[in-house]
Amino acid sequence: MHETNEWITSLGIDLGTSTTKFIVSRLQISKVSSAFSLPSYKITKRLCTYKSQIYSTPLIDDETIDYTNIAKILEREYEEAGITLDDVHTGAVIITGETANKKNARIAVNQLAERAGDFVVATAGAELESLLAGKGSGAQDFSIQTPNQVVANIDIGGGTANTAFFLNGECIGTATLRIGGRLIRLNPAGFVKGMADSFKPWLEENGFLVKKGDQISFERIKQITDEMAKNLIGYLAQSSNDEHTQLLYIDPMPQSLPTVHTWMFSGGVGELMKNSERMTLEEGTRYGDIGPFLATSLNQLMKRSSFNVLSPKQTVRATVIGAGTQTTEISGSTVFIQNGNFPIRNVPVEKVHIQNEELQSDQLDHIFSETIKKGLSLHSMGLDPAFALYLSGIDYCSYEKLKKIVNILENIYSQYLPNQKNIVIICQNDMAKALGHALSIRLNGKVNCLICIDQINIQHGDYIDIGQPLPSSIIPIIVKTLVFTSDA
Amino acid sequence: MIELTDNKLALEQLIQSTPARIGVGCSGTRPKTEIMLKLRMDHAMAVDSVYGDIPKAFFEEFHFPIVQTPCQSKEMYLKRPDLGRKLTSEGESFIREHCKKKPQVQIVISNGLSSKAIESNIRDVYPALLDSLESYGLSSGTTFYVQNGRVACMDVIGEILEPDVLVMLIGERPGLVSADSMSAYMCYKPRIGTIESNRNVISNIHRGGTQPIEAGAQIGAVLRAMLDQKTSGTRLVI
Repeated sequence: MHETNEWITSLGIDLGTSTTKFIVSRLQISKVSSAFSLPSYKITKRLCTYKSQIYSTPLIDDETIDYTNIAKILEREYEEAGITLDDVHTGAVIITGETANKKNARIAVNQLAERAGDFVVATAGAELESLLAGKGSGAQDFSIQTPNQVVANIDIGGGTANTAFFLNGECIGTATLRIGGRLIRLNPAGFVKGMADSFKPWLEENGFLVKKGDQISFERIKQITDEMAKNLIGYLAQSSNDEHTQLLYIDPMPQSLPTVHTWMFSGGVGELMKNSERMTLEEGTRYGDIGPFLATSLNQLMKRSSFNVLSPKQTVRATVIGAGTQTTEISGSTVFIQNGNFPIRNVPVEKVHIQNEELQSDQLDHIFSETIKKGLSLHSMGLDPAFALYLSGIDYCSYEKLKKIVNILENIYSQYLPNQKNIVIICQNDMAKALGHALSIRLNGKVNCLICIDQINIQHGDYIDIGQPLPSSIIPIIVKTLVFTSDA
Repeated sequence: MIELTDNKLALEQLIQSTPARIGVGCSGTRPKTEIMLKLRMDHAMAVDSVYGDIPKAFFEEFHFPIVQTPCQSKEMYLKRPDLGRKLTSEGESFIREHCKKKPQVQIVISNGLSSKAIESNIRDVYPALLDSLESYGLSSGTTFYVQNGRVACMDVIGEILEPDVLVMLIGERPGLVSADSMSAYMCYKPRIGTIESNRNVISNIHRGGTQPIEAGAQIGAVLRAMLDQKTSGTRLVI
């Protein structure tokens, strides 16, 4: 008989500015369709089953991530969690905050992802980080329980404050500012051990003339973190936004922000905000940075402004839990797969948006070839598949329209990518299986591998990873926005 | 929509979750005029799709041979379900003489309770189904149309043509939401005496439900599973 529930194991690894964490989670996939419809599956549970301790992110120097030591930590954690590489179906390594600016960030995160399991992916990017933290902290769930009220989750780590705004369970925006607990490093006597380069312009503009080796007083540190808190909350609550705040922007910033009803703080600084009492200089510098000061400043500011602040379910592990439990999606289950060599990683997506009236005209051919040409100019020629095509905008796909699309696909692939051996097509509508059959007949063995999947929402410029299909031909998909702030 | 309420959002979500007529409001104890008119229009469409016939142009496009059941009229068809499960003797001899015997896949189309369903969906489902069969390397016999058929007339057809698997594309009983919904009933070696639990179905095939081209593609996958597993119905693992 049918096995209607399947469990898969998903990992999360978060390489943050100051700390590194690891979790193991289990995702339950259940059949949600009746016996009379096309099969349809959903991820029905996302449970976190193991949490690592919090490690200081191993660095070789200010510019370089200590990849070897991270790999060692990971090995130890696998053992501790009682899992082996073979157990891992999916997951994500996310590199966040200032760590994404390091020289070897891209290499380190990709190597880690490959070491972590067959289908663990590398992700980076402030927007995604904000979103995952907001999901992991519980802010998204909370926004479902409080209809029509905007919940903002601000995840403040060592290097950045990543905010995600949720309304009725939907993320309606994100914003990231360069505000974090480790932007200035201090020893217990208040001597400055180092500063993030990206933070220096803001310090100077505000008249905080500090440099490495200086000793700064308790009051001075507090003045700095008060100003940081003021800039952050002023921006998010839209009460102030001067040119100083603009020095903290990490592009692109949203055009407008929603009015927030409930605020949550996660991340390392969010954790410190839970109990920021009066403290001494020594206590305030116990992590070797300004984190505890920033937490105190934020608490005082939120209290003074009478904002509605709620403690999130997860603080310091919000992002890693989000990465481990929330990145995997599954495709629609009527799909077409011919000879895939899974997992297929890092496939860039080029979107073909088809207006309905265009399906009737000769325009269609033009739209497809323009997309292909653009794709070829953007993505390196050596890759196969060079990119996946994402068909969106079709409101109802009749067989006649399908035939038209198949004709065009065959033409453009033989014209522009004659040597391509792998074709990946993603459809927004439920039409992948029919498209796959029709296209495979038309291509008649000209390619080795043809994959058509559907019912996944992708933004332009995203990358996808396609996992090994599970029994019942469910395909785990990770859609990722891979953005490195510095391309090293 | 109903004018209120203390929880407008919850109502909107409920309305979004179903095509049924909920939250439409009322005037006193009665439905509002606009709602009542819409209901009567939908009901009229449902009646039309039961009593209506498939236009000639459809058969000019597809050239499916037409075979009759003993139900000469719609009244008879509605009152005597047992007769809808048979073919006339002319019908039986027609398929015996003109259709391919022992095909791997036999496709049968019938108006059933909605001619509109056939008219609206075959154009998309049928070619997608043929693609799907070709792509799986399956061959099909001679497709024909049964006027006023019921699902179980596939047993008689199975007895005569002896296909390995049979799929019947048949119009569903219309509702007030959709009058052109079609089902695909599938069975491994249907013969007289086949019981209902040996059949599989994909239902609700129309533009607003199960997508017709995708249904066509999936029917092929189900038929292939039946041929691989040599069974159908509740024992089939898909």
